[in-house]
Amino acid sequence: MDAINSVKGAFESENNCIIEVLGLEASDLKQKISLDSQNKVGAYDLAMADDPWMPELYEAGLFANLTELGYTPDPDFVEESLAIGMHPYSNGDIYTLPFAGNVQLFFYNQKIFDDNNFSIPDSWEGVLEIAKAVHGKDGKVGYVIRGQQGNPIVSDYLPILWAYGGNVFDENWNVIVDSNEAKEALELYIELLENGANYEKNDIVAAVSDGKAAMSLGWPSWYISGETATAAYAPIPGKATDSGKKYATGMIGNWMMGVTTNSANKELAMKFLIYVTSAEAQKTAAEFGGVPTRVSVFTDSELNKKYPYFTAILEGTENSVIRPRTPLRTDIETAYGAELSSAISGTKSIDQALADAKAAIEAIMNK
Amino acid sequence: MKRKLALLLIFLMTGVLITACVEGDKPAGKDGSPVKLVIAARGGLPCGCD
Repeated sequence: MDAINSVKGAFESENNCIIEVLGLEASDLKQKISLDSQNKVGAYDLAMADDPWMPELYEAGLFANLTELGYTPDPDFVEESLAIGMHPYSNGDIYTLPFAGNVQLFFYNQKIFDDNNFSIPDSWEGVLEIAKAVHGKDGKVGYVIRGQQGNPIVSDYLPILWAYGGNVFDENWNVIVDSNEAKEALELYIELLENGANYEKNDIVAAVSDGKAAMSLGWPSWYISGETATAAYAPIPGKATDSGKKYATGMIGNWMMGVTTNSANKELAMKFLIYVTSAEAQKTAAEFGGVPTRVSVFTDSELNKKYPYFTAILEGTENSVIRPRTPLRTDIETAYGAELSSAISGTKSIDQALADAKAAIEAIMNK
Repeated sequence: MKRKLALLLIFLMTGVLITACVEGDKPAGKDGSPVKLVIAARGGLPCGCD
């Protein structure tokens, strides 16, 4: 919101218009834009949306088809970010543009790594080795998982599952959460917990930042604000073992923006959308906490001096994975998260939990 | 005569009012008035904090 306000003035002057930005809390935003989409003429000309919402919002027809309005894709956008704006995903027409970049990263305490001469691990086998070396020494915690039911544990576990070559669905939408890769990934996840702890978000950030814990996954905004970071960071390891195959592992979480289908000013709204996502606007917005979605801005030498994490976010985004593209994602996350939680608490065996997760997800998909 | 003038005045005023209302609904900007675009945005930084 600050990022938009920081750049809207020039557009207002040049286009004889007034841009009103309504800042809403995420769940309120989704509810309001969904309700407004039912009106013949909408109250909103443009709307921001979190990338997991997109399948649901695209199917509801909330966003105008920018391709039909004459928009052509700009190759300066990171490919993985631009793909989220397409419906169907990655190869359809463009409906939204990536407004703010975001991808999960691997965070670690620099002092613990320096004191022990650890290198940044490039495999999960390596992460576990460091966790074992650190855990219990001087009261320190090796690796911190975010194992609460629902979104937390699913977001925390999926990058590891992807590093093992697993996924939730195969290319034909068959549920494969009980594959051998998934079992190995969950075994590793439980070993990390045995050599670490299970905290909620704020405690994870405090523990890794303060040097109580060595490592965790997380979103950049947890640890990074403006020009400072409270922990060191790197892209998430993409290999299960040091000699294994490397996979994309960073969960992407871009915020998108689109023109509403029921806007009375679609052409001007699209003009503003192109402006507010331009390289020039993203460079200005960076000074107000905006994270870019364009390669030219991520790699801008001046910005990189101030925001060195741009490099890690770009690398993470270029090796990112999108969450399942289905409007049923929330239900799936709830069911899957409950079973993963049962496995880490020991209530169910790994095999049983993953078999039950598969059955639950299949039931949701077959409703 | 006065009655006719009064009726004519009312007729003309009604026309002016109707025109004013229609003008008000025109796409903004064409008559010099600024267009208003409303953006429904995420408050604060749009971070992936879920």
